Amino acid sequence: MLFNSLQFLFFFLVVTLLYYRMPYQKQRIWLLLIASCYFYMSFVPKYLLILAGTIIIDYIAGILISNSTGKQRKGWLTLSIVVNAGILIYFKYFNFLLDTIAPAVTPLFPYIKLPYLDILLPIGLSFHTFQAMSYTIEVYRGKQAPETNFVVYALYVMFYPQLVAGPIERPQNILPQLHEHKAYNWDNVKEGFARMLWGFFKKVVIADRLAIAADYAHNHTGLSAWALWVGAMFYSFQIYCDFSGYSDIALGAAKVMGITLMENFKQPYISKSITEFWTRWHISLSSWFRDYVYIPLGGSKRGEARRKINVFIVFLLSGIWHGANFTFIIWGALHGILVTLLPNRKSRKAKMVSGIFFTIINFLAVTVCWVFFRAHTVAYAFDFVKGMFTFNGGVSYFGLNTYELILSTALVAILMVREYKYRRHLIRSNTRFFAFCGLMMAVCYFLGVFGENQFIYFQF
Amino acid sequence: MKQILAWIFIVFGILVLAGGTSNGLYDMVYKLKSHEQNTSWWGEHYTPNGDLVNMSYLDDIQTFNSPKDYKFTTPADTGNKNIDLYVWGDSYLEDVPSKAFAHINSYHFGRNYYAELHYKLNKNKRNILIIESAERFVRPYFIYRTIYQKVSKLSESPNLKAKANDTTHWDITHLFNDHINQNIEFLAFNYNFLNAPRRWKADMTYTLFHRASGGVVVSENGQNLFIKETILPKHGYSCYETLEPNIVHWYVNEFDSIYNHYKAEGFDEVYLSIIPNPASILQSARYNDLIPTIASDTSLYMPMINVYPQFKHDSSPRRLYRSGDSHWNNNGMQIWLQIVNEVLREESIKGSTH
Repeated sequence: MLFNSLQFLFFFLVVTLLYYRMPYQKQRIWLLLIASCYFYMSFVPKYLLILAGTIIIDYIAGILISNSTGKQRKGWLTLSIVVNAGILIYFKYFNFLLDTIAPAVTPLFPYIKLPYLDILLPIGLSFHTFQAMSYTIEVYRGKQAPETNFVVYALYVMFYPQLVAGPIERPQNILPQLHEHKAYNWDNVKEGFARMLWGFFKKVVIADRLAIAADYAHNHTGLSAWALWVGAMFYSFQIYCDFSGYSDIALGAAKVMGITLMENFKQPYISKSITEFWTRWHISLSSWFRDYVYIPLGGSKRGEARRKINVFIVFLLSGIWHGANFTFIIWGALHGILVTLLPNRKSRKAKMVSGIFFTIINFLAVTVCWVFFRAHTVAYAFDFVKGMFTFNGGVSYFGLNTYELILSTALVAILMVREYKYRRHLIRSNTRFFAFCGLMMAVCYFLGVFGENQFIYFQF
Repeated sequence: MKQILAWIFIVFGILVLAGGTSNGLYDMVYKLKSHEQNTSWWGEHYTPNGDLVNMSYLDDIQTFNSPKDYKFTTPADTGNKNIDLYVWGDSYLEDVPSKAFAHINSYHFGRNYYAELHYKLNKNKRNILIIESAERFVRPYFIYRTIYQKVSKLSESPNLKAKANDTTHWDITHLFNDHINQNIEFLAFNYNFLNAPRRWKADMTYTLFHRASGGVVVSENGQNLFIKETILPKHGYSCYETLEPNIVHWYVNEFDSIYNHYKAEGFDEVYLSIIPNPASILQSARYNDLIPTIASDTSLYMPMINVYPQFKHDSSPRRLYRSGDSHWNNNGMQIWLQIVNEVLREESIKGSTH
């Protein structure tokens, strides 16, 4: 069930109205769990069983970790992580691993048929696996008491607004909120709706329009360097609007029910360095890697060289997390290299030199990295990047006519100003709130690009 | 009052979600709306100018005109009715009646994707199976080999028959109907009174941005509408996607496997027929030559009923397709029927001599 579908519209309406009709928190938890099951099953019903399996294992693991000490405690945590990571590797990386070893194995054993899996990746697997792991790790660290209520724990993993594309939540944020009875609050409802509409706007009006130009640049040959740069830069904003639009809808949908999810984006394209970019982009994932990989590896405590190695490992893993393809690994590695080699321009000195200059340079560097993220093969990505720096003619067509190109640029400008200047989503005045809703709905309908446009991050 | 309103919305929402899973409800409402005649506010927005005009709301009837009704006639030489014809085809062939075919003893049609086709072969007749697909559906239809379940022997087992006839049989997957969004849009929003804003949007998009909205694309010469997926550089439906040799090899292997399967089941002959996408013929500069490549592949032994050469060399190929629709028109269908009837005549002679 896509957020930008009619099914979600009616689903959300029914679940939210029922939520506030239920007087007891226990009933609400059951309602949200059933609704989340329905939401997840609407993609591929049988994959609920995989999710249910990991939930049961992690729920038991959490209690066992809490009730044990020493090696046994570590053993239960290891078991939980191995199961979660094992499922992730099996579904997401098994065929990729076979692809990788095939060129070496096939010539030696030509009659061996490699056991490729004919399966679809369960939607959102990387997200909810990481969220489940954060629970058992936090229980192991003693920072979170084990959740004894199975329904509440299941809902922590399955809460539908963030189930398939995050934010990757922490138990300390969500579990207490699931126990707490939320009274109906009109301000929460207004804030949530306004944020959802802003998310829809970013997805259907900006992201899916920019996608036309980005797809054109990526799918046609003989384009000029300028056309490729425009396509690549539009993709930078497309993926931002697509993913942060999803997060806005998720955060808004939760807010309507009085639940506050963690922020996932903070205007990443105003960053002055790649390091700063990663404090503003997909915050829930970067903080996950910081807390559960970078710090356990030693962080910055073992000298500068080791810090850089640790940072590079984190970005490499982040690339692998995104997908089973060398394009994602190179994307992660590029970010790792940039973060380790370039200074963090958030420093006072950098601000003094020229904030805007470094912001533009940083945006262009991120844009080049996105080419690898967007490409299907490494060779294609290198060809595309080569084309971006080959200034010898070619066709300068962008896949959109002049009016739509101007509109797209204006939309990006509106986006930047709105998110930089006016970050609050709560509109206190009812008149202004309803006017905003009416305007956004009209704009989404008349300027929205509709079709089967999935959210990019659903594939992870 | 708020409580009552909330419950009204809850019940309405649940009804829409539940209704959206029901193809039966969809069919019932579709019939009630009596789409072509019902011009009242609650009628459907259907336009007879074609399904793509309907999808895009570009209701330019001058450009995307409606085809004339075709009168089916029985071929002249149908003397020896010794063929049992089974056609597993798509919507292109849905309206073709049995009388349009030559030498037919019996005719059985199953629409791929929507219905099943079961056969009980008569040894005294020549049993012919034609597997027809629009070009855009070739890959999705054959990739999972579901054809073996969809086109299968009519079971004699009473239990299986009972299960097949059991309309009350239900499982949880019905709740997750793939077409739920289409159904909800149809049930909740497809009414004539909502057409005006749709047309404003379509007109604005076309006037300002020179493109159709949704999944419809205006052809380069502005005279036809295409389904967007059929002309994307990369898409399973596209006739512009680069055709790698291993893909052709995969197609040929699949078709030969299907051929072997149904020959082993007892069919006297099994034919493949792929109807070219409109873009493959009418905007062919970037066509990946899927059909001619498969047809000329020497390892393909499944015989083809191939309209591509005639479509390609037609003096005015625009006359073969409905301009505002994803389908061919009666002129295109007539060419297909001529080739099929020629094949059936040959098969009839083979049947008589054996």
